[in-house]
Amino acid sequence: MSLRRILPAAAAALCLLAAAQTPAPKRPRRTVTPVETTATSTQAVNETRGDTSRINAAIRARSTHYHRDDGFTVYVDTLTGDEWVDSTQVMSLPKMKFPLVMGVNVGIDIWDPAMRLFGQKYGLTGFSADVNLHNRYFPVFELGLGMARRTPAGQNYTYRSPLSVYFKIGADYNFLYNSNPDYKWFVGLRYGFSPFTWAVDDITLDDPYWGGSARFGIPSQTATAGWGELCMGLRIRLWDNIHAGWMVRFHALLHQSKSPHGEPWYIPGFGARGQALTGSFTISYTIPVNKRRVDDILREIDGADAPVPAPADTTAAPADTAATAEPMP
Amino acid sequence: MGKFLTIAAAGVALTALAAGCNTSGCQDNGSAIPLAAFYASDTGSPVTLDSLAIYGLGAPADSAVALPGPAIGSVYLPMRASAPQTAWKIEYRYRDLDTPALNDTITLGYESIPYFASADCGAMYAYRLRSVVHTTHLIDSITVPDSLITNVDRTSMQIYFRIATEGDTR
Repeated sequence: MSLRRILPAAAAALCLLAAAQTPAPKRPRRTVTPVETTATSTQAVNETRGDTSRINAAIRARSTHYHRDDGFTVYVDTLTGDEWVDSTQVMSLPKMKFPLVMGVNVGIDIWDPAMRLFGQKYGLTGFSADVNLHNRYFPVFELGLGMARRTPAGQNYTYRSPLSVYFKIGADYNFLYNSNPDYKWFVGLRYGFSPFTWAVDDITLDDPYWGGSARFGIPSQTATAGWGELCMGLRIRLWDNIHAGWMVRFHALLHQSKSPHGEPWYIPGFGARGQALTGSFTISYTIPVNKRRVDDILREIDGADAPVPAPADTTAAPADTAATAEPMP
Repeated sequence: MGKFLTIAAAGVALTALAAGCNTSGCQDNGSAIPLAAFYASDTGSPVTLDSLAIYGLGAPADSAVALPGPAIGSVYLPMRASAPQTAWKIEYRYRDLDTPALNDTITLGYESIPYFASADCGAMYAYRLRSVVHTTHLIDSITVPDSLITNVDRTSMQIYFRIATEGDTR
């Protein structure tokens, strides 16, 4: 028998022998037994002690909440009573209770006529018209007339500005927009413009060095001026649709025309140069629009503000039933 | 009625507030007068001179606007509104300089413009300088920063003098 015949048979026999062998026993899996101590039992608690998200979640779980008028959600911790606003909430405009167009106000400014009684030598009157939008926004247009004539004491001239017109355009913002429209507290902006003329007459000039005196004047000058105003004021309803209100105006000149003869002292609608503050007092009439809806809303406001009636007194003595009992048939 | 009184009271308060915010008088000159300042021609620095006599030519009684005495670094030269020009004579009362041959003359040509400065300062003439002509004995040059002369208190002319220091042999 040759080796070539023996080797394959031996290999086959070895393979059969290996397959017939029983599998080796598995080695035990490695396990780790955790050590239980006081430190390990509180480890998870200590690691998350400063986790603000968990803390806040725990607080929210025991809190209640309500919605504020400006749209924000306010949480109240029922344990401590603390309140906080949900700062992650996107702010939304508070709902405006009143309809878009509530009315039109037309008024007359009696400030200058009143100030003339106190010695003011310029001004005449002004008229205004504004539209009430949501009781919150008030676009306004003003038109007025002004004039001046003044000979100051101790001075050498007479300043004269004939009757001229002025215009103002702007808007007011009412902070009390969701309250009773009879009361308004507002701030506003205006742009004013006036074309006017001015002149200076009867100028007398003494020359102490060269001697002699001169008498001359400045001929009528055509001028224009524009200015800005920042206003703040109140307006209340007097009776029916009649309103009254005052306003403080801070104004500043934005542009004016140039003249070789100097600058005008008085600008219609602006007042005297050099005065940063002025005022207005307006009597106005309101032409209501959407009056029925406004009345409904006012009833809602009044109902919400009405005091809560006291609960019925259950401790009172019961009525004398013997005296009032129905007789038995 | 109560509401109206409240509103009216607020309006009276506003009146007082607005009336209180007035200007505080004239802050500038009461008339338009050019201010001439003195400088040394070699250094360009301001100088003060104590022996000058300055007169307006044709002024009544030869009245002077400056006389020898305290040193001055500038002088006001009032203009004559009724004429198109005004002339000034400068006399140097220094030793070896006090001679009419060394006197200088400045002649200003201008246009007089009626001008309203402000309610507190009043009305006056302003002047638009058209020409400045001068002799050159001790005056080297004259410059005019702004040709419009109003009541604003600022230098209208700069006169540069030939200044000699002690020890100068020229």
